[in-house]
Amino acid sequence: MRPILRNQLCAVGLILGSAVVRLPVETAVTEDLLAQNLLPAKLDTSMRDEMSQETFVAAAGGLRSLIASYYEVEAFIAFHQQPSRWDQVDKYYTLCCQLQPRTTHYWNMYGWMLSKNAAMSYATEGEATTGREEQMLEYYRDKGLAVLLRGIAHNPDSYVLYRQAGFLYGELNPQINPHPDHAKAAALFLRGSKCPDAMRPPGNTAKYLYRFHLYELAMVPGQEMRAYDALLTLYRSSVDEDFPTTITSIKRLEEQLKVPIMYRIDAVGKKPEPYRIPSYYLPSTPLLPLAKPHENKLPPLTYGIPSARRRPVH
Amino acid sequence: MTASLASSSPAHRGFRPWVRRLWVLTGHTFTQLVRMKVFYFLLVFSLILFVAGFVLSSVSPDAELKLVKDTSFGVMQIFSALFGIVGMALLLPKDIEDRTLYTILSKPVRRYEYLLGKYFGVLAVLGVSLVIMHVMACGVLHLKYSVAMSDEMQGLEEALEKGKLDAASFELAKEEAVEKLSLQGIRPDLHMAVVAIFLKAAVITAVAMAVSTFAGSTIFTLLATLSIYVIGHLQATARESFLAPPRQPHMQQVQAGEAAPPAPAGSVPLRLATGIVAVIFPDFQVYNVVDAVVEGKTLTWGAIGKMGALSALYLAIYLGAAIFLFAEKEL
Repeated sequence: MRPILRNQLCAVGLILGSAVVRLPVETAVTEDLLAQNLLPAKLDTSMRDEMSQETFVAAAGGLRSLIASYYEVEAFIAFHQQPSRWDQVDKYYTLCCQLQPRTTHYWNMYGWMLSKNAAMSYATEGEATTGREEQMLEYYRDKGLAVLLRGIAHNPDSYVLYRQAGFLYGELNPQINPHPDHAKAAALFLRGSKCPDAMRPPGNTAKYLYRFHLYELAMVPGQEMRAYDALLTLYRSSVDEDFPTTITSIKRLEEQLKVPIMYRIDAVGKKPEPYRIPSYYLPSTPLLPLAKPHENKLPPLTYGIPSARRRPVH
Repeated sequence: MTASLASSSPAHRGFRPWVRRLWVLTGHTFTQLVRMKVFYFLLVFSLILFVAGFVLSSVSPDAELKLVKDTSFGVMQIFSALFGIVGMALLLPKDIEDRTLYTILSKPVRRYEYLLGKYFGVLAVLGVSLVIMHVMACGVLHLKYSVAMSDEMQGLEEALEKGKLDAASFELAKEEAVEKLSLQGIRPDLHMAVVAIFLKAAVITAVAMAVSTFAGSTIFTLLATLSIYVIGHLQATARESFLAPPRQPHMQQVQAGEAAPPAPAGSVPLRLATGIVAVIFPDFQVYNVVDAVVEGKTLTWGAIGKMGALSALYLAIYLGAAIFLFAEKEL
């Protein structure tokens, strides 16, 4: 055999033979990097219709992040046009999310652009609306919400999208959300408060999301007692927990639950130790048990009254 | 250079002369490429960085920081891959054309030493370029980060003064802004992402060298290696399809003693095609951790170590193939 042919065969043999070692190593490294969320998700081939051929090849060639960033600039330009080109904003953010589904920023901005900016651009503030305006408002609001929920499915461990979706479900502006779903909002805020990035020290984000969970829970019919108990516990857990909305929510619940005046926060103020409402002050059918049976006993008679002004409770 | 090579001839079988010869060849390639004014590319890079950093605007300050990172790292990836491919496609034919190759090989220099010298010379230029580009990108990023942070803080303080925010909300908003911007600022992971880009460039350069040792022309080397670069990003999909277990017959059919259902039309050719792609081409998708780092995810030393080990395997394969192909090549 000629030496040149022999060497060519050796080169081919080396490349083919090494596959026995190479393929398992490649698979193991890929799986490891995927487990660490370091590799991008598979490229969605349906994007080919929306992108130019060059862009698609560049995205396939490892420049997805760069292309997504430039699509976001395009979306921003479309947003800044007068009037805003919502169809373009929608298109470019769709591409951004398809290119980088694990980047919460794109889902968050996409959801916010549609559900707030695009939907509100069709709101006419008291003026007579045409059928089309209402239709468009509803379309963008619902689509924005769907985008956020899809983003959550891709990024279940990041609080950002839970928060945004929670705000949208609990939105009280009837133009943006005529049918607020406080139960869903509460569930989303609670889930967000348990995300690892929310719980990072000092954990203020988790606390704030939990607080919003309780604000929403306080508005869910049938969950008032549970919300009242939790809000009161939160309010009394720290001297810093005296946010206006916390106090307003507690006061509203005190009214709803008909808590006796002497037990209300205006009279009792903050007490360092946990507090339970006596069961005979509760509505006849409590929605959720307040405490375990052995704990469900009357508090001390002097409870809630400053020591200088102690007097018996009848 | 020939004098330097000649001076290393008396004991060329020893370890040190071998290293010295490689060093001389690497230095020569480095000088050769510098004389080709490749570093002028850095002017283009600085212009691109300026536009991304100070001309284009995006939806939020953190999106603008991400834009700077995406642009700089994207350009670094393009530059390093193109430089590795073009450098290798040009150097060998140029040495043959200038007859420098014959002068070098007439000295006691083995062919594989010449190839490795060329390879490490290209890698040295690549490494220096990447370091300079990274320093420039970090400079712009730092400047942009400082401006964004000060603007954000100023905005929050104004909101606090005007009573739009209470003290607690101010603290929370401040914490969130710092976290969001810091995630897009300069972090150690960015330096490791540059290592990942370098490893990817090293592999594509080795592939380009293997192709150029049997290619008949520079254009063929360029086109073939660029195609391999694109295919390499889809290799993971092909490998997955190739290594997937064959389709199992339905349980009912097995129980009934029937034969396994016929394989779908085209599956054998498809498996063959994906097998060829998986076996021949390297997986460049593994190096795409840069996107995750730009997003703000943490790149561990363990991940870089695994990428380094895989790259070493690739280099052994493709440089080995290049050495075999070049060993008896008629020059």
